[in-house]
Amino acid sequence: MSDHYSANQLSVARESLQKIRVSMRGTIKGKDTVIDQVLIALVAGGHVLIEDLPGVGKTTLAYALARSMDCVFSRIQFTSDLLPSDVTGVAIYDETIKEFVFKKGPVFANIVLADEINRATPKTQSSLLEVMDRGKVTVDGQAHAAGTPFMVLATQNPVDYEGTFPLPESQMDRFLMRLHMGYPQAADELEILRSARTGYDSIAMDPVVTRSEILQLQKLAEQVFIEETVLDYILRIVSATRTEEDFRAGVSVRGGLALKHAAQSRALLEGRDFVVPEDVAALVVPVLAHRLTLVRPVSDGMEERRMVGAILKRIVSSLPAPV
Amino acid sequence: MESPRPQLSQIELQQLRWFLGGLIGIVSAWTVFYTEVDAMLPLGVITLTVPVFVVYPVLSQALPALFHRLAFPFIVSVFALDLWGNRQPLPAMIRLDLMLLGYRCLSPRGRREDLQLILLALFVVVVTGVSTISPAFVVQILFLTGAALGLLLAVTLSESRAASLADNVFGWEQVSWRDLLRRLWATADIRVVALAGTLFCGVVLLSALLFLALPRFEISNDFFIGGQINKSSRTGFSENILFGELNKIAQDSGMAFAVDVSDPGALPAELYWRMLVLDEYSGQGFRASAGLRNSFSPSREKSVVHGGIGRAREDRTVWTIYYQPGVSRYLPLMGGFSRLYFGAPQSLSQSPALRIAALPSEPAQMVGYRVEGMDTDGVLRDRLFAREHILPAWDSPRARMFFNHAALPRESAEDETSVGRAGGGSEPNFLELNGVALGDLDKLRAWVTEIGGNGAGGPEFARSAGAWLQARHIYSLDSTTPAGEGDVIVRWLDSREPGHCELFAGSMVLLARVAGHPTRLVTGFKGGVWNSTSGSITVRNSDAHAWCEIWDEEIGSWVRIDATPGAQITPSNTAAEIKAGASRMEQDTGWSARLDGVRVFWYRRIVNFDQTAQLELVRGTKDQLRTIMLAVRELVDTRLRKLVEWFWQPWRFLRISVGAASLGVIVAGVWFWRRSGRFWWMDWRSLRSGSYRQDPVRREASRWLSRLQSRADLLVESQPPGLVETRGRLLRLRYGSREGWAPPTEVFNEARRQLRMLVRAKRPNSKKI
Repeated sequence: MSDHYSANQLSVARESLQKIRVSMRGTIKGKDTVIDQVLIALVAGGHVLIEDLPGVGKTTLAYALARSMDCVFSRIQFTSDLLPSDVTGVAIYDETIKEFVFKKGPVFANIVLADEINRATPKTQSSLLEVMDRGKVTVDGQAHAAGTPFMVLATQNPVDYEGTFPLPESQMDRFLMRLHMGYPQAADELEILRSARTGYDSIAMDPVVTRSEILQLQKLAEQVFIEETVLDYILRIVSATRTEEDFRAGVSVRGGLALKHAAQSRALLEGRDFVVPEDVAALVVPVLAHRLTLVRPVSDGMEERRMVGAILKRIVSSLPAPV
Repeated sequence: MESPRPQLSQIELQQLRWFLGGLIGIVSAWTVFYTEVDAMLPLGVITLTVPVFVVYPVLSQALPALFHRLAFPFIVSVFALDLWGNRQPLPAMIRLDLMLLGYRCLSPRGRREDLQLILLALFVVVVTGVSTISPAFVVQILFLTGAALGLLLAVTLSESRAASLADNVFGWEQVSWRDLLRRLWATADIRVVALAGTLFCGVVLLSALLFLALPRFEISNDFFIGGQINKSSRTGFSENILFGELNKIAQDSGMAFAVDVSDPGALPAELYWRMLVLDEYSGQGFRASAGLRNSFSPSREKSVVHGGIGRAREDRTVWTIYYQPGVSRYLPLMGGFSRLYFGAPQSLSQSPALRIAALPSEPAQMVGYRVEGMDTDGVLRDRLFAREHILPAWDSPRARMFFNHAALPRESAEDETSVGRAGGGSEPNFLELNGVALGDLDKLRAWVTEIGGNGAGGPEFARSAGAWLQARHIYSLDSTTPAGEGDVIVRWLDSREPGHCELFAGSMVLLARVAGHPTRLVTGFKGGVWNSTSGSITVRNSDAHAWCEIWDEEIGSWVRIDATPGAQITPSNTAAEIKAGASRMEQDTGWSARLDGVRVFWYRRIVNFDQTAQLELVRGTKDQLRTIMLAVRELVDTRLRKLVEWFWQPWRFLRISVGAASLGVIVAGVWFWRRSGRFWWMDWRSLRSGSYRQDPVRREASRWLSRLQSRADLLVESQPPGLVETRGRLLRLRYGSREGWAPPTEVFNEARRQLRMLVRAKRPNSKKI
């Protein structure tokens, strides 16, 4: 909410985002909403947890995003024997210079795909905490900056709990959004079936925006104006989750800030330099749902997510938006 | 954008209910202060605890379960004991109500408990209000009505959203009353508030009209509560007054009574309101002897009392006196009167000889009465006393015939301490000096000799004695009698200490009696101020005064004597002084005068409102309305006639030009205002606004967005060119940064144009769009 910027900046930003959107839509069929939400997270500088069944295009989405930008992409396949150093990197002794040299891990990229993150041990999962929070990795007392922009796209399977370690709440809170891919529509799936492509490595995409453009977009998103009544609307939603008796605990302050940043990014994506209440309402479930747990636990993870989403929608519908 | 305005959340409604409930409890409990019901303990507990619990509701949650379990049995037990011990049902019920009210304010409340709270508050307010009939009752009942309606609205709103509030304790520890106030302000819709205010005023107006139309009745006499809540005397006017008591009364600045005078020009220069006549000197003060008390007739209930001995029967001045509760049971009167009216039958005893009237007990509420033909000149003719007591001066030969000087203590061996009584024990004696010791009596005689005036009439002696007293003593309210043994008055006379009215009056009585003049002490009020707000006289307790009346055998009357410095010793008999008028009185124009004015209005129009006054008021209202209507009709007729005349005058070029130009200016002004002016005005105000609610541009944009939204059906069918763009610009005005705003005037005009196009497009056979 700093100074207002020019109409030219706004149109350039909109054009850049439109280019990424078109590029990704060429690869990911029938998932326009998810693409938009991932773009919102990117512009807001947040991380995304994509939770869905295997084989619905989670990895492809991350890959398509990375390839649409002039960015470094890396993928980490999380397994139970993965060590933190396998993620962050390790200092090894270099005989030639007689010193320990830091060998960067896969986290040092712009877009990091943390595939099946819940298969790693909590210790390894936690190795992502610092880099997700600060964009830096500290090894042996030395901080090493990750790429800018930096975004973690983590995936996890909500059904198969065999040999998984659920993400702790503190880790969940670091993700800006939790998204669901869902099965594609029949027409879209038919088109996917027609294509000869078998893996995401065979996807041919050219970058449509540069890294500096992404950074500029992130800077602009921070300047998107939020009027007082819209801020109050966010506050009321967050407060309502704290007084809702079905939730064990309400949304944290970080959650409220995440909703605000996401709303600003959505406004930019829509070509506006101000936030409207619809921006907030549309992002309540993806931004807040993974931060909330039910008082009465439900054995089925999918059912719990559905119930949390339903309660959040009820809260949004019960709170009048500012007009 | 589905709802037009933000609403209070559930927890905010709970907080509002808690706050309003506490407020209702406190205010209604405090009404008991107006009565003399001994409820200091529950009142004290409520006053100390409820405000704290209202501000910190978390305390309510912290109360142990045992407290709630024992509360009701405890309250019932206390009530039973109270009833058993005091045998007075109504005060006990009020105390029970207060205890229940206090408990309801302290404990968490649901819907049922809120309704109980309102009922308990209503009970205590109505009972105390009806029993005291004070103007504060109006304020209390209006406040209670407003607050109770607000509470019921909050209950309805919250109950429609949740099953039970009492169980939901979330958020109590985080109550911020400032935030709640801010939210109330944010959610309050001025139109709803205005509508509610109008409805409330309408109900009050309707109630007032019903009050005018309903038959009158004396509420306190018709309900069982009359006399149950007695208010004891505040000021201490009684049949036995010790020196200094009256002085204490004068420290109180509260209103004692107000007086309406039909003819303010008939007001005398000095107003002396007689209440009590005392004859017996006790050595420490004056009291009414048994004989004096026997002169009162037995109490009889009547509406009209015929005094029959007022000399001013031809005088048509009507005095309406609104007598405050707790002053005394004796009514203030200036002298004899021909008739005295009460609004409803009233028990009254009177002493025609003394010109004193008394109620059976101190009234617990305001008493209003009218007096006609009241003597105001300070001279009270007493034919009975003149016939039965031929009273010459003390040392005259005739006195020796009437008074047995041989029986005087100076000459009596049996009783050397007091002067013997001249009359029988059952007769008032205005020459008695029983309380004066012999030594003191000698001193009094010496002073009488010093004063001189032997053989002169009572008033002449009084003038000499008054001058003598005023030369020796100055007036002071802070005066005290010198310490020592012997008679108080004599000790004071022997000194040069300042004194107050009682000492001056008491001294005058003793000196005059020693000189052989029948004299009596009178207590009451002197003066008063003219309240120009209400057009009435206000007499305060600080006007309490003591003076005396001396017998003037020349005219066979009692003459007022005021020996207090600053006062005229004997009444003036000049016409200018007898009818000096209100303009000569001290004028009261301050805030207290306005409050007193409201009180007098209350007495005139509400409390003392009998059928005659009702008819007068209805007729007056009708006449006023007719006058206003006639005036309006005349005004309209005149204007119309002038317009028609102007229209039928020859139409010359200049007239046509001026008319057209004027019309053009008006049309242009309206057009300009509608087109741009109001938006400029809006923009200018927007720059100075601090929030959305005060920003007219954002509000106007919001209105246009709502209108467009309400026409969503039209938007589906037809999209006029530029509508999306206009909506975007409206959204920017509503939610965007001010720096990015397009000129609001243009945007709103464009929005109006777009909306018109939409509506036209919707019409059948429309060719546009």
